[in-house]
Amino acid sequence: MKALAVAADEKSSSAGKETLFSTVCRSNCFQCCRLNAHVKDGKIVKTTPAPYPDGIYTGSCLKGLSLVQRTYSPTRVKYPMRRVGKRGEDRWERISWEAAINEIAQKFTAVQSKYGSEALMFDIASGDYGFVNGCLGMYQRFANSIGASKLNVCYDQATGHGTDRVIGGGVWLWGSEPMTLLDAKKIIIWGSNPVYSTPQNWRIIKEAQRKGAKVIDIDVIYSATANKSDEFIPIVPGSDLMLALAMTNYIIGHNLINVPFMKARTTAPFLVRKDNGKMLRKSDFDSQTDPKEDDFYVWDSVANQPVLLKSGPKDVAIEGTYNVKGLDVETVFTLLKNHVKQYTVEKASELTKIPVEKIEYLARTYADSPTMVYTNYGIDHYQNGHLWAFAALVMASLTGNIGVKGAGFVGNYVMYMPLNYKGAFYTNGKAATSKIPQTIFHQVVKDQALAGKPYPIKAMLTFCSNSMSNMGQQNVWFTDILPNLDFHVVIDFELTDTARYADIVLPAAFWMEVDDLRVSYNNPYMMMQEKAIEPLYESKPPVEIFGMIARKMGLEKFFPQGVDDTYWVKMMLDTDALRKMNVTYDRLKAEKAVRVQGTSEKPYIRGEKYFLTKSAGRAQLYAENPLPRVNYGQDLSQITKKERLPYFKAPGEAWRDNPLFKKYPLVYIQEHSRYRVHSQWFNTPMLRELDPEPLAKISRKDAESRNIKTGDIVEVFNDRGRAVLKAEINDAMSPGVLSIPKGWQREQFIKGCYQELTSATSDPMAVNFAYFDCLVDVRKV
Amino acid sequence: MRYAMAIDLDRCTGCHACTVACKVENNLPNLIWWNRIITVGGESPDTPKGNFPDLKMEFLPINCQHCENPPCTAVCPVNATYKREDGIVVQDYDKCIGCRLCITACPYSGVRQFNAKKPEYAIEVAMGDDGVAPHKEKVVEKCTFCAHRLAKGLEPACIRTCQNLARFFGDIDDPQSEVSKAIKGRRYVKLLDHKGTKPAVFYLT
Repeated sequence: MKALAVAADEKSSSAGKETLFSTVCRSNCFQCCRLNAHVKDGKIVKTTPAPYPDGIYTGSCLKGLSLVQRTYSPTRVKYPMRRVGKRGEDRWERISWEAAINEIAQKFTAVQSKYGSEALMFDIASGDYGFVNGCLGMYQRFANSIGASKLNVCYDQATGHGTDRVIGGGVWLWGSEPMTLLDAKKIIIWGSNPVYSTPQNWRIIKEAQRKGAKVIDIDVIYSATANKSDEFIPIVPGSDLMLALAMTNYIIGHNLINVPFMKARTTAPFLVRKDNGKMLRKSDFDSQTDPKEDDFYVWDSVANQPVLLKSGPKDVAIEGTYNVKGLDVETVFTLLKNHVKQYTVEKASELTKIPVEKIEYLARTYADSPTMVYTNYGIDHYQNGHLWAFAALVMASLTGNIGVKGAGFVGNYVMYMPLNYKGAFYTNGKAATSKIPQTIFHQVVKDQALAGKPYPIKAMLTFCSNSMSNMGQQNVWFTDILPNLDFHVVIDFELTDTARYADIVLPAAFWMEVDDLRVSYNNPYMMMQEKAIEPLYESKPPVEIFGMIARKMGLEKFFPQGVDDTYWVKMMLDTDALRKMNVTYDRLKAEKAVRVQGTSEKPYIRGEKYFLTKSAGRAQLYAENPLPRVNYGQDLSQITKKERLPYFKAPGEAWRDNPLFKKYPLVYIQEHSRYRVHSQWFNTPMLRELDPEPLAKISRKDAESRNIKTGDIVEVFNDRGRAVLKAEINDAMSPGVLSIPKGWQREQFIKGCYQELTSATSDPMAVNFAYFDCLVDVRKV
Repeated sequence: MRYAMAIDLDRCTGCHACTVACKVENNLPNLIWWNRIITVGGESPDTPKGNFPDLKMEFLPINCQHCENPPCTAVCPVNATYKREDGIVVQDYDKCIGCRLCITACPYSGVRQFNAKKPEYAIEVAMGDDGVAPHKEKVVEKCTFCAHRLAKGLEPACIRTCQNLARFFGDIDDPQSEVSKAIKGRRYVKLLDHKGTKPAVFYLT
């Protein structure tokens, strides 16, 4: 493989005056690019792709290759700063670390003693995936030790909330290793633009395509991915759910299901009680059943009688209505089949604007397994996102397109590794509470109450997060959040929107200035990250910053003075489970990247042996007891029963039947650009040369009807806010769709910001920012 | 022995890994890019041409074409630009008088860039390889095929950093070279071939 040539290059380079340090990009793009930091005279001079044992994973995008300019960014936060003007006025005084730590410790202590320990909020997201200095790291040790609150993150949660209903594994464990794409004969890219957002995955899709796999792209934009696919199928925004339901109905109606797979690996043959909607279990007739020994009833089609699953029936019925000891029951599959009959391809065609024949063709193509679906978090960004994922996984389970070679879902491959979470993150028996989702945070701070009960929040610490820029409905920061917070500290490298409005900003050491540990996304490695240079200016490793605050608050026992990053790296690795896997500090140090799941010959297939469900490890076609992702007291009484099966729910706002559509007729999305990951790299000089300013991408039809030309200054607006910026007529946009690529900061707009327009309203089950479920209009200014 | 480059347009997604790698490796001053991506499609970068959804778009990375018959060397009054025996067209900053006749003569607009003023840099640290000739005011500069890396037995920076495995390099006279193997059996175009420049960059279609 050509990519391996990098290895030779690496040896040759290190023979010179340069020293190479193995590092890895730690942003949150769902890629994980191993890099070499080339250091000369104590300075990083460049970053280049460093090889992975499986060469297909080796590579980096322009962001990883421009990290030298992020490291030495002229606008980096260089020393601790205290606000002297009004919040957001950008007037600061330089203060010493001692003064900063004293003030922070004193204010945190005062708030906690006056209002309770939970009145201090930790606002953490995904800006750095280090297990020591990043969002997965030692801030947790600190937050737990003082029993603070922690915001429940509501980014990208809907897809996994939907997949969890079917295959378990929580919100993150749904994707297979990307190398499995090479076994696919067909790849449907659904609501994703990997060419821009996950280019290391795209390389593998392309390799599969060159080997003969057919690539079909379903999207609202003719993206660079659509451009490279064999077929592009445009779709109405937010109607993907209806497409999946109609495909499922067609597949069942035309007998394209995989019956042996359904019998062996799904809950299709399980029996559901008609009286209460619950699965028929051993315990229904034997109240003495130990819950651990409980079992499911199925219908033995040979003996023609109900039997327990564990009794090992020769054959089971997947269809039928029966009576078991006086209880009326039907199989899960019968229930599902009757339910999806309402979702005809004609109805779907009306909503998706995809021709009937094309939907039928898609259904047949998909059912002709193995077929892979590549997706990420585009469809996730509508209020019906979890239902699409639910429906798509059910469809996969009916057709045997999951847990087998060449099929399944790829896009976000996450590994659970048995690190020392317990030992490293918990110290004195206290734990941070995480009851407040980001989506309602503004309301809680404004009311100082959650679900009608007092919940004071007076101080906040933001770390690994540019929350103001990334949470929906930005103006709530100015109306609800900031006016009600007495004290706000931000730890960051750059003066982000969030840092700009803080009371104290602390300079974090950048990724290559610390030692750390990373477990990959979208490749199967664990990696040691070597400190390449000393922290620049007055910056400090975040673990040390937390240590300083903790010691000042009397927690020196848990944050000893004078230890370095490797002390914490070793603590994270200190488990028998890891030792059993032969994942040790010494091995990571020597090999840099260690494969911890699957093999080169047999890349990891999610659910190959079993699924992580409580239904005997089977894929669940029916969610007996659907629960919200996070319970904050929301009303679920109207939807709990509905949510047992995937059903059509229109997007909450961005839908033509919404009366608001007459006022704001454009669906507003904030696509990933090539140049930023969320808001990271917003200020990297060479990337700004390529992509100098925010653009509103408008379809030709929508632009012409508003007399807008490329280069005009326009205002994109709705009732929540506005963004004033340059317009670009872009024929890739579906008429009716407007996009502002995300991540620009407020000061980079002429007025307003892209995030003022979005909404914090979420689906009560998924509890997730539905950024694209948003209507706007645009006018020339 | 003649160096050549091949770029597989089917694989290229216009991702800018190569342009950024070039910028870093050669410590290019602000606003100078020796390697650029042109979108063949709509009026703006990264936009397609046509009526939704029947659209077309292609990405064309462009650097100095290192022509076998370079029009630039013929017009240079001071021999600041000349072709080496291995086919690389080089630019000697010490000899260049900034007359820009080479820019006028070159049919590949933009591959030669002029430092009108003292080179400015966004950061204080000099990026890339110190084997690269220091940038100067009022001279023309351009892609060198990373001659400083070739001297060390390395491929140009844009080749090894292409995340889509679309770029190939080597001696076109050697059938075993990466570039010869990449071209073999493939259809390709050379830019403005009719002008008789005989570029050393093969665009695989």
